[in-house]
Order: sequence, then structure tokens, then C-alpha cells
Amino acid sequence: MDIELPESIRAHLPVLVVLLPLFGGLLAMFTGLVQRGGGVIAWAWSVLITGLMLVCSAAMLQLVHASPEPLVYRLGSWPEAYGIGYSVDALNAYVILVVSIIAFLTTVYAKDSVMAEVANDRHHLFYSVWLLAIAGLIGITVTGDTFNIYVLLEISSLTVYTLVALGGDRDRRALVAALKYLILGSIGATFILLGIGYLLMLTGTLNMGDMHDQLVRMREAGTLANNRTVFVSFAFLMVGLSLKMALFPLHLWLPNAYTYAPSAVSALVAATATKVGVYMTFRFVFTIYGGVYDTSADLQLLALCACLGIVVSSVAAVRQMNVKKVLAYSSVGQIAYIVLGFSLANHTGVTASVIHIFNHAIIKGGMFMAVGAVALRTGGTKIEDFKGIGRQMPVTMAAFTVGGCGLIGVPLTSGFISKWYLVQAAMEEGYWGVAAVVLLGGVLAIVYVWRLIEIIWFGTPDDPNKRVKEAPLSMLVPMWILIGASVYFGIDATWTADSARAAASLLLNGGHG
Amino acid sequence: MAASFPPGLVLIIGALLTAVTPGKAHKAWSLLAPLVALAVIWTFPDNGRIVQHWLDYDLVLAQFNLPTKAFATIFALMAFGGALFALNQDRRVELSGAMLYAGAAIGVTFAGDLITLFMFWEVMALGSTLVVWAGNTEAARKSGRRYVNAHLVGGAILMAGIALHVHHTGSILVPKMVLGGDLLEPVRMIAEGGRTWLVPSLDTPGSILMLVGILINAGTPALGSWLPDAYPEASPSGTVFLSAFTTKTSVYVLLVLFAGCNILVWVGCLMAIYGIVYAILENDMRRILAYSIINQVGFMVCAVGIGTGLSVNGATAHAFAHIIYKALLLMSAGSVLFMTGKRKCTDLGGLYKAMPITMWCGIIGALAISAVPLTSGFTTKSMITDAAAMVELWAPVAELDGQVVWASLLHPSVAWFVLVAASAGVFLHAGIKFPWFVFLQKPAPKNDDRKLDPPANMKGAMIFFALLCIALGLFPKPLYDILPFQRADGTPLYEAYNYAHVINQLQLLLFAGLAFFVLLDRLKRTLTITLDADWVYRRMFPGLWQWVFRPLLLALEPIHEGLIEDLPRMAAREFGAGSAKRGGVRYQRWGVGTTVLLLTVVLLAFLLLNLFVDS
Repeated sequence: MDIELPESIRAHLPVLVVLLPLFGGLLAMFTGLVQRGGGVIAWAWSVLITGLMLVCSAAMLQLVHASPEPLVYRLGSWPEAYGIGYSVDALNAYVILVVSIIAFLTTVYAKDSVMAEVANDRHHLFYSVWLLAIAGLIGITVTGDTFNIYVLLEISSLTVYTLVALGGDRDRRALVAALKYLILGSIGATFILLGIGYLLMLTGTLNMGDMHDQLVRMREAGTLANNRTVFVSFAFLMVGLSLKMALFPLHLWLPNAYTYAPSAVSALVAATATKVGVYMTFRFVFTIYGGVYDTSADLQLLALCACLGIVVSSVAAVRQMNVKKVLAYSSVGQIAYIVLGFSLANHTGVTASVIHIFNHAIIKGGMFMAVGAVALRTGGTKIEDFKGIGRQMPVTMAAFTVGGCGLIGVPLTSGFISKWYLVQAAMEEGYWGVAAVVLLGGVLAIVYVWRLIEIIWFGTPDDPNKRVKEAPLSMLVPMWILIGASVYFGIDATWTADSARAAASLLLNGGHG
Repeated sequence: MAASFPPGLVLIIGALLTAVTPGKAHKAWSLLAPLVALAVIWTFPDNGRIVQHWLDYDLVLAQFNLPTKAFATIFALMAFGGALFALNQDRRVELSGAMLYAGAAIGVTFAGDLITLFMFWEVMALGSTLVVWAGNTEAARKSGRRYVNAHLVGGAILMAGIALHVHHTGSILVPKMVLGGDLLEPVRMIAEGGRTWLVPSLDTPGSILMLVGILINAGTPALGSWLPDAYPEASPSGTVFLSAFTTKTSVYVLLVLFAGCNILVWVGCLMAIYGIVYAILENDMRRILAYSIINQVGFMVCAVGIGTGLSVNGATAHAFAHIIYKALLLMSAGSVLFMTGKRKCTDLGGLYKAMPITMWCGIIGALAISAVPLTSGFTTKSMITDAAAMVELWAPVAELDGQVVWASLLHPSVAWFVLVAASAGVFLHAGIKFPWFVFLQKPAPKNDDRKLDPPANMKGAMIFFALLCIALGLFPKPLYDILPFQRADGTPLYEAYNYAHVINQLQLLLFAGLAFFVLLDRLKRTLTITLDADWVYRRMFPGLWQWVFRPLLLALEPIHEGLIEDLPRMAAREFGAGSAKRGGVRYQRWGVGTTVLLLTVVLLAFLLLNLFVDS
């Protein structure tokens, strides 16, 4: 698939992927003037915007793969040292594409779900905030400026809090969940800001590449070794980022936020927000601090948290009585896999991480979509609502089942690929225990996934006369695209593996691409 | 050679077609797909390889390993026979599951590397679970869950083993088997690059994990309780499918990866004895046959452990014959269940007048499983007992300074005695017990003019398999021709019908038969439940949870609560923000306070860590 764009657009791709949803989001509010609450127009507008964004990000990935140097875009033509520089390399072009794909598909999916779950006079606001959240997430990924990261992080976080709170129309608990998410998210963001602040103090610059160069210079001059500012800033960054990634034990905001958010929001946020957190961590750990300062002890601490997280969250997932919560806890476990991969700090491990960013995004996105479809038809996501639903919504639940196999890591699903790389990475380091934890996580996933699958296909509905329809096509198509992709990339993993390997080389060679 | 198609995928595609074709037409696919698969297997070029690049590896999706042809052929035949038997029933899920299952099993036999092998292995687990679930009863649902859990856990163990192995050796290929000259010599296994394949000596944790993973599928006692648990719960036709593939695929995989691993001799003996003991104690006719699968697979596993050319041939041939007569027996039992709805020996009997064809087919199957001369069991099983008898030629696990090292505790000749005793036991529990209690036992009701023989397709499938049993007993040559090792000079591979064999076997059978009727009163089954290793996870674990761990956790609850709730609240009060009440709504427990506390702890951990590392 070659995307030919005119040169005038091509040169501006890095900024277009952010500006499209940013201004698209602002304009989406005005659809409320055309029709009360925006209605279908707001939705169609969002589909258009995210669709264009998807084309741009696909073209950008091609561009990056074709050029030996990363694409650098200077906003307002200011030199990077003073202004904001966007910098796109094999890693973030890949993450941006992942986010764009999910953003587009969840937007398509959102139509009926939002109709049912969000009050009718607020759709224009919903889509406005929705697009702004996407703009924030993409912005974090595209920028090469640390302070800009913080600003966009706040944009994406504040909008996501709002989106979660919009679930309050259906379940009031969403408000509490959103409030807690807000408090904790803000603390996390503050920690990140502190970390960035210390770095600024140390290096006098906000640009990532520059920061790295300054740190290298300091190390060569011998002034780095005992500089406590360095590791204090690193510690603050790690803690803040762990919270944003929902790494165990700082994951407590996640389950309720995902559970009570509107279904479309759960699908979008579960598939993208934490992944962008992981991306930020990559940038800080490898691009800024890589090769400058020995982070191995810190990474081991992360690995420990991740191992505990895999086990604890999977056990917690088994006990949940709400299907969305099962998936939410499973997300905590899956994030832990991603963190575990890169904290092994070898090539295979980072590759596993990058691959799993994509694989988990499509699997979990697809599964949340399936749950959202059930919520649309039955009005709830409790275990009871799923009893025997497989017979009434077979297409939706088949997608859920295939997705579940992906979570377990059954061969021929993309989950297997991630798991295979992760186990290999652990073995390369000689961490047999870690490899065992990964496999144990798979076994625990069998337990919580199979429990659901059994209820879905073999449960007897509480009210046997209740008939529900299959989900509408606008939900089934995006859902099956994601789930189909999870099978496709489990069989032919060339694209994901190659992209991930390129990204891993880039990260481990220290440079800011 | 012309590029061929991976034979395993033929049936998998057939499974998809069966699943989506509307109306009754899906049944046509289930009959056609196995035949097409059979054709693809037989036209697959001898030295053909289908290679596919995947991640960092070149996967060999299909190639002929030495035992492949025999296993793949019988799997395809079995899929056809099973589909024929199931033709009159409307079980789309079961049929497509069975096609997936059979296709994956064929895929395993053609796999040229461990990763492909593992992938098909897992697909097999999923397909077979569908077949169990298609039994469509509450019991089937529950044992289906235990079944799939056992297999996915086994799969995880196998994957761990393979990953370790690949990591250690850097090679994913399945080893080549070669035989020096004579059939009685031990088989040599050559890994990629001409090195010796060390897996059978269990030299690494990887190889041990692989072995455990495979043995779970083989139904080895203590690991394999899923087998007698799940198989009898499937539908009449489902059990027929189930009996064929999983355990025999394990035998195949053991053959190509673990030939000559002596520990397997004892594992096999254990299985042979275990199967008999439990089958004799059992009352459910299909569970009797399920236990006897374990017994028969025990013979094959033992042969794998012996690891000579003859025993490898024997394991292959016996697997081939076993699939046929076991399916035949289960078809016969399935017909009884299908027509009468009864499954317990105590409820059955006296059906000889009502179901003559079913009875005769069952008896032929029973004779074959007992290895009566002129049946397929005789021409195949004697290879294994012969191989066991020639103790001095067994494949040693390793050689140290010219000294042969045996990885076994017992003297090898013990194995021969066990196998012979087990042969007698087979006759007892399956050869006589099954037909006697099901068809004969009680006299038929007077004026019994019930016509209970099943519909034509079921009869057809039974007669087809019964004829195969006899044909292989009379003319075993076509089977011998596709066994792994052939004689270079073209002389017949094996002479089953010699004086000693026949007399030996007949003596054995006659005395076993005598014993049966002498002990008949004691063998009469009553309604009992026998305990098996699955008690551990069906009763003991839930019991431990209910009576030990849960009370313990509840006792610890105050501490837990204090840690996650009181402590943050105390801290909060200390700093003047304490308003949260204790014991609020559940989701408030894991709240903001806890996270902030944890956040501080983690930050502290990072700071301390760096302080000590750097200074």
C-alpha cells in the first residue's frame, strides 16, 4: 500500500497528525449548532478527521522507513533549542500509526454506543473531547520536546478524565472513578513535570536530543557520576510514568476508570493511553538516559513490579464480577508484560515490548468493543448479562473468544508472538524465574478468559425469554478488523516484528533516532 | 518437486467450510475433506519440504518424518470414518471441531520443526475441546473446562520446554532418525548440523519440560486424568473422534523427539497397568474403553522408550491398528448409547438379539484389542513385545567412557513381563468384559423383536472399520510398507505368524478368558465411583481453599485491612484530611490514599536504590 501525497502535505505530516484532531476537536463543538447535541454530524466529522489522520500517519511511517534520518519538524521554524521540535523516527511513527488505527476504528464504532450511553444533548461535546484526547495522545508521541510532552500529557489526561466522567449518564460510579483518576493522574503528571524540571536544571534544554547530548558531555567531563539531580529526576520520572502506565502497584485508578467509562471510551483508552505512557517511558529511559547513566538497577525494580503485576492482576481478574473489570485487570497484567520486556533491556526484550504495544492494543481494543456491543444490547456488562449471550450474539462473541485466545497467547494469535519474544528475552538474560512468570501469566489468563468464554457460550440466561439482537454492523466491522488483525499478525508477523526490531535497535543504540 | 500443500491445512479448511456452509451441506464437507487430505498426504513428495519464514525462523510447515506417513494416513481415515459415523446426527459444532482437531493432528505429524509442531498442537487442543463441549450436557461442559485447562497448561509447559530447547541449541528442527543396519539396533537421532540429538537423555530442563508437556497429552497417570474424565462425556460420535487423535499424536511426538528415552519404558508400563486396573473397576462402558486407551498407549510409550528400529516400527504400527479397533469399539458402544440411552454396564446386557451387527462389530474390535491372531492387534502388538524381549539391544540413553548408561531403576527385562501380563489384562477388561456385560450377560427378553441396530451410516462406519481390523490381521503388508524403517534387502519386515507367537498369544488369551469366567461374580460391576488423580484438582484443591486457605485469609483480613485502609487513613488524619469512614463501599477501599502511599513507597525505593548504586 503506497500512499502518494503531494509534497506540500508530505513536508508537514508530523504536525498534521496533531493539528487534524486538535482543530477537528475544537470544530466538532460547532456541530451542536447544526443539530442539537451534534448527533450523527458530530460523529461523521470525527470519522472524517480520524480517517485523514490515519492516512497521514500511514504515509508518515512510509516516509520514515524510506529515509535514513528521522523527520524533524520545527514548529514556527524556530531552532529546536528554543522552539518546539517534532521528531519522527521508526519508533514513534509506529506508535502513532497504532494510535491512529485504533482512534479511527473506535470512532467508527462509537456511533451507536455513544447514542445509547451518553445523553443526547452532549454528543458534540463528547466528540470534541474525544478528538482532543486523540490529539493529546498523538502529540505526546510525535514531539521531541520534553515540556511539550508534559503539556500534551495534560491535554490528553484532562480529556480522558472528562470522557470517563461522561459514563456517569449510565452509571454514577463513573464520576467517582473519574475523580480518582484525575487526582492520581495529576499527581503522576506532577512527578513527571518535576523530573523534567530537574533535567532542565541540569542540562539547560528541553529538547530530548539536546538533553541526551548534554548528559553525554557531562558524563565525559566526569560531572555526572555523583550528581544526585540526575537520579532524583530519573526516580520522579519513573514513578510518574509508572502511574500513567498503570504499572503495578500504581494501577489502582485503572480498573474503575475503564469499567465505568462509556464503552467506546474504554476501547479507545485501553488500547492507546497506557501505550503512550509506555512510549514516554521508552523515550526517557533509552533516548534521554540511555548510555548516559546506569539504569539497570531501576529497570530491575520495574521488572520486579511487572512480575508481581502479572500475577496479582491476573488473580484479581479471575475474581471480578463485571466483564469490563476483568478486561481492565487483564490490561494491568498485559501492561506489565510490556514493561517487563523493555526492563530486560536487551534487544529481544525491547522488541517484545514494542510488538506487544501493537498486539495488546488490537486485542484489547477489539475485546472492549465486543463488551460494548453487549452493553448496547443488554444494557449491562455484569457477568449475568453475559450468560448464554453467545447464542444470541454469535458474531460479537466469536470476536470476544478469539480475542481471549490472544490474551492467553494461543499460537496463531498475535499474543503468542509477544509471549514467545518475551520468554526468549528472559532466557537470554538467564532469568528463568521471569520466563516462568510469563508462562504462569498465560496460565492465569486461561483461567479468567475461559471463565468468561464458558459463561458466554454455555451459561443459561437468567431470563430465558429475553431476546437480544446481534450488534449493528458499524460495531461488528471495526471489532472484527481488530480481531482479524490479531489473528493475521499472529500468522504473518513480518510487519510487526520488523517494525519492532527497527524501533528496538533505535532505542538501544541510544540515539534520539 | 511440485510445491504441495500442507496436508494438515486441508482438514482445517474443511473445518471452516463445515462451520459456515448452511444447511445439511456441511456434512458433505466433513466426508470429502478427509478424503482430499488423504490424497494430499499420499501425493506429498517424499523429500518435499514446505518452508515458511516466520519471525527469526524458517519454519518447516510440512515434510515427511519417518513415522509421518502411517500416522497421517490413519488420522485421515479416522476423520472419514468418524464423520461417516456422525452423519445422521446434526452436530455442526462437533463436526467442525473434529475436522479442526484431525487437521491439526495431521499438521503435527508433518511438522518439521518444533514451533510448527507446537502451533498445531495447540489448535488440536482447541478443536478437541469443541468436540467435548458438543456433548451438550452439563457434565460435558464441566469436564470440557477441565479438559481445556489441562491441555492449555500442558501446552504452556511444552512451550516452555521448546523455548528453552531452542534457546540452548539454537535449532528448531525436529531431528532425523537413522538406523544403522539391522532393525534390532537402537535408533540414532541426529539433530541439525549432524550433532547427536540429546533430548532423550533428558539432559536439560527444556527436554524435561517438553516430556512433561507431551505426557500430559498422552494421558499418563497423575497427569492424564482429563482423559477418562472428558472422553465419556462427549456425544456418541464425539468420543469416537476423541479416542483417536490426542494420545496418538503424543505417541508420534514422543517417537520423533524421545525415541530411546528409557524412562518412557517405565512410564509406558505404568500406563499399561493403570489402564487395566481402572478399566476393571469401571462400570460406564465408554469409560472402560477410555481407560483401555491409556493401557494401549502405554504399550506404545514403552516401545518409544525401548527405541530400537523394531520397537519404533511397533509403536507406529500399533498406533495405526489401535486407532481403528478403538474407534470400532467406541462406535459399538456409541451405537448402544445412541439407541438405548444407557451407558452403565449394570443397566445393559442382553442386547445380542436386538443389535446383532453392533455386537459383532464390537466383538471384532474386542478381539483385535486383545491381539487375537488374525486381527490387527496381533500383527502389530507382537512387534512391541518382541522388541521388549530383546533387552540387550535397547537404545541406551547415553554412553559414558564406552559404558552404556541406563536411565532406569529396574532391570529392563521386567518391562517384558509387565507387557505380557498387561496383554492378558487387556483381554480381561476390554476383550471379554465389554462385549459380555453390554451384549450378553443377561438373557435377552423373551420375544425380543426390537430392532436396535443403529442407522445405516453408523453401521457402515462400523463394518468399514471391522473389515479393516480383519484385513490388517490377515494382510499386514500394506501397513508394514509405510512403517518408519524398512529392510534394505526387501525381505518381509516382520513375521507375526510364527509358531511361538501364535501359541504364546493363544495360551495367554485362553487363561485370561478362563480367569474372567471364574472370577465373574467378583467382576460384576456395581455402581461405584473410582478415585483418580483428578480428585486432586476436583476435590482437594477446592477443599483446601474452602477449609484451609479461605479461613486463613479471613483470619488475616484485619491485618490486610489495617495495611491498605487504616494506615492511609491514619496518615490522612495525621495530616488533617481524615474524613473517609471505615468500611465504606467496596470500591472505595483501593482508593486514592492507598495509591499515594504506594507512590511514595515506590519513589523511596527508586531513590534508595540509586543512592546505593551510585555512591
